[in-house]
Amino acid sequence: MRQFFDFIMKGLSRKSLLLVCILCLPSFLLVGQQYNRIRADFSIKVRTSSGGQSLTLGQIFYDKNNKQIIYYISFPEREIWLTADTMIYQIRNDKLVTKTATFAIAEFTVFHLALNSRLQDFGLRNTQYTIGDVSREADLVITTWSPPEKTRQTLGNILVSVKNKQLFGVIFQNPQGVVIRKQFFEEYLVTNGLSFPGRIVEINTIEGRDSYQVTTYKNIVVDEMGNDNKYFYNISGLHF
Amino acid sequence: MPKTLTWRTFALFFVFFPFFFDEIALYNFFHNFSQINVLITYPMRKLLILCSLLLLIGVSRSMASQADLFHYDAVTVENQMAQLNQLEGYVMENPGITLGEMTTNGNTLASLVSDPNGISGFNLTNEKTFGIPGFFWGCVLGPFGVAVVYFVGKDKAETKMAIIGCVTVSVLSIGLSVISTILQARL
Repeated sequence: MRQFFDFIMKGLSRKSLLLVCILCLPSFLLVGQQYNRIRADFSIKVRTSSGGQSLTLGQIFYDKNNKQIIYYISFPEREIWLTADTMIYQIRNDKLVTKTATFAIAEFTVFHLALNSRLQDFGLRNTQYTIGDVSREADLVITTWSPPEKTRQTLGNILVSVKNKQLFGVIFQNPQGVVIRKQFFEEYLVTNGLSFPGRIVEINTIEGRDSYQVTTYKNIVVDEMGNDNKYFYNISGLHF
Repeated sequence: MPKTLTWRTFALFFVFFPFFFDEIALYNFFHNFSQINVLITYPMRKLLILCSLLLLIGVSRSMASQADLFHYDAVTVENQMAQLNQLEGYVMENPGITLGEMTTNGNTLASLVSDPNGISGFNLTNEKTFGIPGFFWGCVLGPFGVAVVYFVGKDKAETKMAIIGCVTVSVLSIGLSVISTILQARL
């Protein structure tokens, strides 16, 4: 009798263990899904409040392990724009044209956030901003992120909205609560399970006047196996 | 004034002061309070309903305001981008063409682009040192400003502008001091 009981218990535990494994495997696969590389054709159209216009077309390559965003620009002129650490390099015919400091580092770009599935909070979770308020209005979940106490004289709140579990809009306010910048993430494209906005509309308001920027991405390739040389640029050998 | 003796304390004291001496008045007060709806006349009710409605509208509007922020006029954006869409279409039809080549060929679409380098197309790329142009760093803070741009900005072009700013201010101040010295000597 006891042997029979042990046999049943063993059988049950094995079956239940197997069942748990089968049920949990897909969720482990989903959580563990990480991407490393992204490549896309892009176009950036800008119209400033003073009427100035610019159009930039090309391809962008990003490998999160290298942390270099490389823009291979075909229009207006053939050249490369490369962001690495806090610097931007303008390269033409393998020669450095300009080298500019920037506060926009790779970790806070749409490419890095999308590859790490952290686009929903716009990367603010890993900053000193804290969640002030969360509300649901119609189909939007709006999170208000507040800057640290000591910087509230210079920085305002950032409102992030999510629609259908995808980042929809980001509103930047000045310390007085006036909207100074709006970003909208639209026309999401899903490639190999990675969701990436196909169009980003940005409206900057300075002294009551609006400037517009529309960025589009298409032909997105995720985790490309080839073209390794396109994802890394050796900047040590660059000279003016 | 101690915190316990706020204006609210005084107000309560003056309201209930008569009742400390008259139990009947106290009874009447609470009795009337329980039947206070009798005191609300018909016009007053209308006013209350109106106020409630206005309050409700106000609350609902304030609640909707956050969602309203996440809205933009798509037609305006399309209108603003109309010329650039036209240019983009042309470039797509002629892959590999550059703005320089379009200008050389006398293509009228080339004139639509006001910024030939397309630098302003990148928010990433138009950062100055703390958002201030190098010239002003040199102008206002002199050699210190140049050092800030050189070490913080790490940008040769901006450092050059800072040096120009520094030299410009120095030349101007020397010139002004020479002129003032000459004028003082003549007087």
